[in-house]
Amino acid sequence: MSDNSISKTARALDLIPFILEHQGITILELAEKFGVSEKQTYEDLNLLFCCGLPGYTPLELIDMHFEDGFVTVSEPQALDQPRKFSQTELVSILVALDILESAPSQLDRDEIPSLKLKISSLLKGPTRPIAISENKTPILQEIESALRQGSAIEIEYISAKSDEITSRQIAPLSLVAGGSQYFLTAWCSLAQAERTFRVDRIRKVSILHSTKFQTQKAKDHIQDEVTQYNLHVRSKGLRFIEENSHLIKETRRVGDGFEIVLSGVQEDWLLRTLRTYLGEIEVIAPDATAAALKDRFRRTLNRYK
Amino acid sequence: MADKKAERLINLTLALLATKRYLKKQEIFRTVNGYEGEIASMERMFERDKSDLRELGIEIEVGDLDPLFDDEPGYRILQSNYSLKLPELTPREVAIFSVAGNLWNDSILREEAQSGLRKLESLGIPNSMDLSLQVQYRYEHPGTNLNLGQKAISELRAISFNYDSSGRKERTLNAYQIFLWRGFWYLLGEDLHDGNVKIFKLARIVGEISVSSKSKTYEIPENLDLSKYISSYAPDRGVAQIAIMIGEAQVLRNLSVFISTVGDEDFYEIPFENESELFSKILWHGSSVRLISPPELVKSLITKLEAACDV
Repeated sequence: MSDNSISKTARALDLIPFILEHQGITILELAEKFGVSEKQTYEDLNLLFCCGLPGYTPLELIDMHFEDGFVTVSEPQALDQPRKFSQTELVSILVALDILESAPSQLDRDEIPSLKLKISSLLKGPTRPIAISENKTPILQEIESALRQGSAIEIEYISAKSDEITSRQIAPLSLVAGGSQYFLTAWCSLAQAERTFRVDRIRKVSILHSTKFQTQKAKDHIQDEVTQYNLHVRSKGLRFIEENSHLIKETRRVGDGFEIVLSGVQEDWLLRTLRTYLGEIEVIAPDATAAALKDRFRRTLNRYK
Repeated sequence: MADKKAERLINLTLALLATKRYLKKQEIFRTVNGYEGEIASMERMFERDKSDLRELGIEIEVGDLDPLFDDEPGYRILQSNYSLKLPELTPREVAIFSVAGNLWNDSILREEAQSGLRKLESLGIPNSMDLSLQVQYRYEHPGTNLNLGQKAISELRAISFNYDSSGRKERTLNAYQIFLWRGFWYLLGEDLHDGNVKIFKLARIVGEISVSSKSKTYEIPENLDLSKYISSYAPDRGVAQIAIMIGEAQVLRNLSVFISTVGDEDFYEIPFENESELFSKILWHGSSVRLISPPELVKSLITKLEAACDV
């Protein structure tokens, strides 16, 4: 959500009832809770400090204290109740419940249907947005069960990078559904590092007994992993941030997009990935990487000449 | 820097919430901080503010004042319309709610889910459920078109929009339902051009949906069978021809149908849904792959590559 006057208003209206329930909360905690910077929270509080009821005498203004970093509200005026859920908030919860109902977890699912019914009653309309769950491929089911049991697996993987089928022993750590793909992050014994695999490129899965999980040293997979990359991501490149949030160390909003800092990746992977975004993602630093990306675009373009 | 507009919106909300009776426009202009200038400009300001508050889901009630004295309407916000009314939830349901809200933690729906959870916390219900899920979800953000679409469905208003497709661009439909499928948001509705019920991908709607001013103009069929439409939905828009250097781009070969080998290149046909998806698939392999057809996409790819070289 862009931080315009409207979203600022929404946040300010929600701050007062939140503080009322958490009197003495620090500005830092509030900032974390509302997902904004401390400076922004300070500005939000200052904004509220100037607001009140017609008349605007000290008696009619919102009264609050936060000079010492601890926030208390002594006079909320008419803002003592939280606002009702917005449509998108309700949809985000309902669709999450649909997903939870079919997702692997230790969660007791018995009460999901009754909760869905109650939340749906708050949403207007004859039909509500739903998430459609699909039959999972056998590979995906095996990965989920390995995750549940915490067991290592051996996989056959078609590597897009080296264009070959490799067999690897991996210890699954987490599974991410992004777009229409599943991504499995695992400790890879071949690379001796965390790696992310696209589930649709895994051809075979077999469960390993822990004693057989090898920890041999890999030779060449470790270079490049400490380099930091600064990228400028325009709005059409946002999918990159979504799919790679675990690699991103910093995100800052600038103009029509974001500036991000990324590390823990191999340069070749990064260059290939960035190439698929055409000009939507730019390398700010290091200069050598920016030049390498341009060079790759040039070489691809040369195929058409 | 002070945000005059946010300040005025908050003051207006407070004034309309606190009042027991309807406030006339003149009263608002005279007493609410932030309204200044010519009457005409204050009128415009007020109209914009009303629609901004509506966007935040704040309903402003319009009521008539005493007809004997004045026929100008008045405004107020009912506390019961403004504040959160939570249905009775069992402690387990609260816990599940919290898990559901945290499901979006790494995604851009996070903002909405978290603001929902904060409202629960503002009622004194803790968000402390710490259940690590085995799958994390990072789906695309549905954007404002989800809200507009859902609003149209709830009031049974026809919608129209521009659709990124090879066929007709302008579409007008009676929307039935919005759904998330394989990581993307879709809309099911009756296309008023030919009366067929079809599926549209929200991400391919160009710009904002416009909602008709007439409500209750259609009915949603009972027992709507979404799965029937999904099973016949074919998103593929076309088939592209590509040339792959011999021995390279195995992944792409898996997705394509082999045609022939000419010189040091293998020719394949590959189905695609839209331009950016096709480009993304082949550009991963860089100079190992060359797009042969359709010609208009080859042209567009060259233009984009040239632009990327000049950045």
